[in-house]
Amino acid sequence: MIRIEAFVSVPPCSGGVALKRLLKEIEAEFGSQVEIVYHTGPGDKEWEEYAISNAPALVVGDLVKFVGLAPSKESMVSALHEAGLE
Amino acid sequence: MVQLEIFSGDPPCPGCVAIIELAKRVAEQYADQVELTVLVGQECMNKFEAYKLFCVPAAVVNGTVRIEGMCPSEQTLKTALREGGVTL
Repeated sequence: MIRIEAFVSVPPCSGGVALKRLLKEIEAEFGSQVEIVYHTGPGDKEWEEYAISNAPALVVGDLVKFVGLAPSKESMVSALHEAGLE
Repeated sequence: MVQLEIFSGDPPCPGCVAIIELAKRVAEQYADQVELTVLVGQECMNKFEAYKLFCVPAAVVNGTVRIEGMCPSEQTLKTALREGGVTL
């Protein structure tokens, strides 16, 4: 199971909206192999743990992969493969 | 005075950072005509919902949503202000 942590702002930026749409697609396609967790707004300690200061951001596995943008689906799937998706 | 309200997420996206910087620069340029308010994060949610905004960054001029979901060019922001009554 690969853990995806999505960091989005309050209110959501356009990239955050795009990221949520992308993650719905990812969940539909790889639902049994991924676990998606959202950190919405600045309250969660993970923002500091990963030193993320721009939204949206994505941590895949335990590595920060994208900050300040919503990646393409192709890039997202590549990040998942790098994290061990078969 | 023309009211310019800028909405930013918390934490900000690159677009939010850019629009705040741009708005401050332009408001300073027309300081005698433009009153700038920057609204960030949870504290802006009441107004965000009142304007029926969908996402940030956003620029509202005299209560009318002019730009949403992107940081405009300087010229576009100035045009929005001119529509609101600023003499450029």
